[in-house]
Amino acid sequence: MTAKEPGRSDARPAPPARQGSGWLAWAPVLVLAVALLAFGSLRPRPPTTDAERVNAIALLIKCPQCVSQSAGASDAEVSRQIRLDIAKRMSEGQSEEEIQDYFRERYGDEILLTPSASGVGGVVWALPVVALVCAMAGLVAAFRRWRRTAEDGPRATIADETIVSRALQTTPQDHP
Amino acid sequence: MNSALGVAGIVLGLLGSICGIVVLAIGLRRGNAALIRSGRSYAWLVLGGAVLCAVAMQRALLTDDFTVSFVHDHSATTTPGVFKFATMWAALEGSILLWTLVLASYTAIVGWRERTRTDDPLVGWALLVMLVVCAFFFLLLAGPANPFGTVAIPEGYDGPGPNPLLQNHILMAFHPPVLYLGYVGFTVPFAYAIGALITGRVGEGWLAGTRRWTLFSWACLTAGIIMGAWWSYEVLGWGGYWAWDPVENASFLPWLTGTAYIHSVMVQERRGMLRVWNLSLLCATFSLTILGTFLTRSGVIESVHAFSESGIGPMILGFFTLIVVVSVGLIGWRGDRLRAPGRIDSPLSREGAFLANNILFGAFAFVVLLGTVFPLIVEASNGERISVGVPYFNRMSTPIGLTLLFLMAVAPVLPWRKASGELLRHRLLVPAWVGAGALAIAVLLGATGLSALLAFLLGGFAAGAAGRQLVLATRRQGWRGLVGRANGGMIVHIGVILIAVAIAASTAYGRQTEMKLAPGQSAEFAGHTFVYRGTEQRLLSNRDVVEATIEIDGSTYAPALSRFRFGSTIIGTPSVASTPRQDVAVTLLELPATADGVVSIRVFVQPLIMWLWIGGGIMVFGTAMAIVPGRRRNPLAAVSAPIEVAGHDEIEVAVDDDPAPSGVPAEV
Amino acid sequence: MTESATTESSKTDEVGEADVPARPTARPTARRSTPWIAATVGVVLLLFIGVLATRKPSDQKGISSPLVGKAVPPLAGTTIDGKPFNIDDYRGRYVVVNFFATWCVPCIQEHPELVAFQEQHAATGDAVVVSVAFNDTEENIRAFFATNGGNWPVIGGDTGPTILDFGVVKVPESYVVSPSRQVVAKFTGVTTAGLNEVMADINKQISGPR
Repeated sequence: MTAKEPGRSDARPAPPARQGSGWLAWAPVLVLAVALLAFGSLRPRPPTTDAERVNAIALLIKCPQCVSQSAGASDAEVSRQIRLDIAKRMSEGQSEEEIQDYFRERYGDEILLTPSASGVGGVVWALPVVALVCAMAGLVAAFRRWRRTAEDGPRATIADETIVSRALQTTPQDHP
Repeated sequence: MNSALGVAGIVLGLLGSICGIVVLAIGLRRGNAALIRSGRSYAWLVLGGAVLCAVAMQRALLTDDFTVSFVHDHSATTTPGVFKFATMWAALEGSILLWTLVLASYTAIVGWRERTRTDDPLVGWALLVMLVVCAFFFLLLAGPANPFGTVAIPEGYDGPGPNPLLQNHILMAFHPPVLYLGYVGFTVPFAYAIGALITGRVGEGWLAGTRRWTLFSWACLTAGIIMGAWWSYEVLGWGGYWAWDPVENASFLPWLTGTAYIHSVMVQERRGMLRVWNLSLLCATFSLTILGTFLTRSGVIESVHAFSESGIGPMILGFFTLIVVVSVGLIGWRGDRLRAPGRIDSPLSREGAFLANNILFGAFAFVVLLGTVFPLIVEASNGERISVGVPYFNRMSTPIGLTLLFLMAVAPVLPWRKASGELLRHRLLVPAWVGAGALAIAVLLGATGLSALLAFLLGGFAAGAAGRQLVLATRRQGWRGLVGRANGGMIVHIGVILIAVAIAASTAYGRQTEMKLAPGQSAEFAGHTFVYRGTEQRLLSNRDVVEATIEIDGSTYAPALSRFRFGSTIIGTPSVASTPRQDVAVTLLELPATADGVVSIRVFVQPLIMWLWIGGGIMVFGTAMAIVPGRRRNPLAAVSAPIEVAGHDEIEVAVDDDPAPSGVPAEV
Repeated sequence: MTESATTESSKTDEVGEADVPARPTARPTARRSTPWIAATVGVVLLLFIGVLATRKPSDQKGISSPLVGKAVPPLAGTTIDGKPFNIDDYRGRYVVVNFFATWCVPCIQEHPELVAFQEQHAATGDAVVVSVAFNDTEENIRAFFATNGGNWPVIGGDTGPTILDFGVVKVPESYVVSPSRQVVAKFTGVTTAGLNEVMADINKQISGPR
């Protein structure tokens, strides 16, 4: 493995690929994984009861008088009323959006636990993505810079290689 | 008497730390070794002060001395003994007292451990920083968070007792102390880091000296967070274990940066790189502990810990500002000295993986912090009030978590410096089959949902990689293949994978419902039968408990509603039937109006919850294994010193110049 | 460490001796970016601290309601005396809709203010009070009013939908409805003076532009 070629730049060609560890050996496991993922994610989910659908919406609404709990999770009286109200509206056929709008009109934007994607709230969604993109760009730039420095930089001389191989021979080999 | 003792302790601690700071500062300024050495004794004074405070407080609590203001406000004669002991940290002032006690203990331990090196300026500066933090907390105790005020009590006064939520479960006696052991523990490596920055000895010496502190603190913080999740699940009874509450985030943020730090230091120890990252992560971890305390206790964010409004907010914020200015200033000042002699040769290498790890954990911490403080920022900018809740955090943390699982699989098999594609393909083949196998089992058991399936696949993949490392290590070294940093780390990874899989499964496949049952009536839900048998009432010293006897699949459980005497708050106690495969939790919503009335319960059925706690235990066990030293061929010298080389800037040369890596098996 | 020292050995091939001690090349003149990055990070953090420093504790935050300025939600029900109540019947008068509960301490504290306000305006009849009980029983409500006074319609029973319609967070909350059936103010804990002030403001607005 890499011990045979201690920390060099890309001067030497890589050793010949080992057969059996190539992409051929990976094909079955990759195919199996993709097939299982596709099968599992595309198959129908078990049906949810009405109470669970109500609860799913209630989990997106903040309990107005609790401290940062959702109406679905809290046991407060107000939350219970909210759940009953959602159940009533669902049975009248209102959509999730309409139910959320109803609460937003009466309690303000802060009743919804999911910040909206537009307006000021959108910043909280966009900012992490922007930060990650910048971090990736920074990494790529740093690696390019380092590779350029390494390629322009000094190469190992014969004298260096002698030192290294001598040192390696005296160190116990720890890998197969 | 207790108040007087307590105030004496505060004064002792405050004066001791201030004198220690002055003496050490003068000694370090003048290079006076004797002065620096004497700084140690002040650490003992500070410890004495803190112990005196704690003993006074416990004495007051256990003897119901209501003349002490904290006991007057928060304890009661009817509180059971263990909870009286735990009342010390049931409110703000006592929590600060606990923090101070742990901090003073750590300061004294540092002073004692370094007793042979106390004229070393780096150690002197570290001790100075710790004394500064001690002084701050004693200042808090002396000022806004003073638990030892004297109160004149009327005849036969009985206090209100601690918040009912905090008297409900024995875990309350353990969760805050363990959490603080971790939280406060990061002060020590931070102090050493500041010392290293100030003295300019930013090599690897201070890292090696603080390695065990960091791991121990990290383990305690992990245990504290897991206990908090357990408490949330078993005691609060809302069916979940993590609500992305500001309090939880305050403990999670330093854990995230701390985890990145303990990984990234390995790169610095081995190759002297990522120094700026490590210092920044460490300073961030410590700053986040202070910031978290500010956010939860000052009341700017609604939080279950903002039990009292107090003047503590501005002081903590001021201290946070000081830490930020000092850390950023020092790192900026020493920037050139922190440049590493080497470069990361290839992104596909162990160093590259650790760098990616830093970025991912940094992103995770950024997201959690942003979500927690965003409502404040929006309100400051245009007065609007919005909420950022669970949906946001879940949606953001899922991709990061999945990527981290993938990284956990690939990183342990990556060699240092450079890897080739076929090396990876060869080493990762078996783990890939393990992953596919885990996915197949899940799919066979009926799993759906892409994120959960990915979690199972990647979790199996990572478990395969960790298992592979452990098998190789034990094959070579026998049982010693399980101790040491690399191997202990693999055990911790297995714990993390268990937790990740449990989170994925319980979130994706958890179900809940509400039921109304008449006595003797049974109902079915999610494959379990529930029969209501009746209610029972019990009168305890501090509360009246009404239990509803519910049979879950034939076994009897008794979820309860307790009415605490003072303030007549009603707190629910859930019942949880746990098996490795599934958890059934039942909470009592409403008691029946009449003796034969209908009871209203809520039922949660979630798979794999037990593996959260098992995984947490394995993480702590793995860290213990990692702290036990493995076979190291060349221990790093305790201190690395800069060496003058003619014509060039000082370079860092570690005393260890064995070309073979130390401390880590080369088959990595 | 010796590894890096070796790779950075001088570009001299003429050395020939195998054990020339490695002399590190001059570090590439560092772009001195660290102080700039540190400064940027510092400024951002200080701004953040500034934001935190200027926040009021959450329990002192001002009371705003999205209902203010909009038409009053429907409010109809049966009072504890069994009479029907509908807010539409009170068009042309100010209505103070007070949400309360008998077990809530601040409600008990604000109750005398409501009593005083109602007595003040009983003669002119330009303002009335109506209370909506939150999660309470009729006997408790009756006992409450018997002890604390007050003679105005009180709606009990299942008031859940009304609570949500008005966006009530916790009790006590009071909403002032103008004669044109607009919600004009929200209080969490009323005072007679405060109520009168609101009425005076609205009256001025109504009569002013003319």
